[in-house]
Amino acid sequence: MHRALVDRAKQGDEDAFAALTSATGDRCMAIAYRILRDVDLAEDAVQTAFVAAWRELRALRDPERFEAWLHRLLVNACYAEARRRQRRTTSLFALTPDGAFAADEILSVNNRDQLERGFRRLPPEQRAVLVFHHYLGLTLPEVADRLGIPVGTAKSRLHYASAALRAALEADARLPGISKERPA
Amino acid sequence: MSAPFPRDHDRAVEAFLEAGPDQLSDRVYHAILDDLRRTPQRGRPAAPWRFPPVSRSTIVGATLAVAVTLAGIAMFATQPGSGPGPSAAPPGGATPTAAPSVPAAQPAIGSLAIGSEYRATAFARPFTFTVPNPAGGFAARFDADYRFGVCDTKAVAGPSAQTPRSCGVFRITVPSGAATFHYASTLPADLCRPQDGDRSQPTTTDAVGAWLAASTGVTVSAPTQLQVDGRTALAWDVTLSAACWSGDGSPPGDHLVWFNAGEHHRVYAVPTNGAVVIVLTWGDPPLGALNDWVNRLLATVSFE
Repeated sequence: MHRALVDRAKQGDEDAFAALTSATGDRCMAIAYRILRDVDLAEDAVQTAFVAAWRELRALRDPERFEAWLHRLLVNACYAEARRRQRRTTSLFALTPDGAFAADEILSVNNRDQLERGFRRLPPEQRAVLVFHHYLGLTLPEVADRLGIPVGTAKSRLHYASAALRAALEADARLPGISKERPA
Repeated sequence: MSAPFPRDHDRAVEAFLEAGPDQLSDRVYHAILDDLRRTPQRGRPAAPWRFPPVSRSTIVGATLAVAVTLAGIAMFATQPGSGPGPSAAPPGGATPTAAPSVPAAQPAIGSLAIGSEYRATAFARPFTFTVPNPAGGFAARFDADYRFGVCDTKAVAGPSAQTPRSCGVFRITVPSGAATFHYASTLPADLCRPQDGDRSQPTTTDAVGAWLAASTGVTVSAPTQLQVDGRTALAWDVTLSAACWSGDGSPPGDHLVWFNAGEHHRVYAVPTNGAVVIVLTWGDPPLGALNDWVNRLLATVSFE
């Protein structure tokens, strides 16, 4: 779908790249936010990824793989932002749009709280696998391809991440109540 | 309150991930477009440098300007008694544009007038420089399009930053390539293998030499000396072997620059008061004209 735009952008056409950014930016923002759980960090990662994509676009051999290639740049940018996030202490809940969970009737507020805390304890590499598998709906081979890792590694990361989140929920079930002051 | 049954875990995770923003703000979109204008595209491995993107209208305008200039010269040359005089254009076809007589105020990005003095005030180690005449090998095309950017990609203020981040990279783009100035940058620990880790920028000229020498798969020339701002700087010509990094996209890490297999670069270590500025050249081989131009530019540099 984007092939013509990619070809033009590879020749230095800024308008074509702007159109690509417009077409793929929302998806990138959604992915980055779900990995980083922070709007500011996600926006920084998206900006970094698109600028890197522009800078490196001529090295992209197959224009059909533009979005997959962009997602790999984005994930690398997310990893870099995650390493820098120590300087941030922003609360997730203050950043979440009002009503974002209104349609979510599977999770109680407390379950979501526990998942959030469990998720934030995961290394970004495991978060990325979860996001690509559960949010984007990619199969494990597709996740591996998108992230540039072996399928076995993707499977292992998914296993550990899922187990950690399950443990977080089960621990919650054993607790008499939720302490929101508990450090994330 | 109870946890979901095990079979519901996947649904719970999916529901959890479903929530959250899924739109890129206009502010970030426009910030990306702003960044494009000061970010040149890197070339394929076989051609490590490409000119920065030039819009079609710029090319058309430049072509028309050249045509008009040539027509004017032709008319002038055909008039009786005409000929080259004191006001003849300098060698190389480069005609200085209206040059400021004092160091120009530093815009975010712009064109450099040959022979003019500029202040790189946004660079973390501010300096003044004079743009050398391109005589010595540059092609005459785009001779009015010497560009500079005050910050390179990651040094530009991010969308969430309240104040600009440290501007550790300064780039001057010229027709045959570019020169980048680095101060306190993050660099690949091994120039040949940027994917293997990063290091902070060396702080002495000797340390720069040791960094280059320790890089595997890189041929490093003996250093040459040159004087920059009253101090002795060193320069090495480096060539990366075919075994070095070459891949789609950026190698993992926080480094702002990296080299690709088969590329040639000149690396300068320019001492300043208590620190070193590293200058890199980027261009299609042979780099002789570019390196000569950067040598002459560095001879005009004065750190503040």
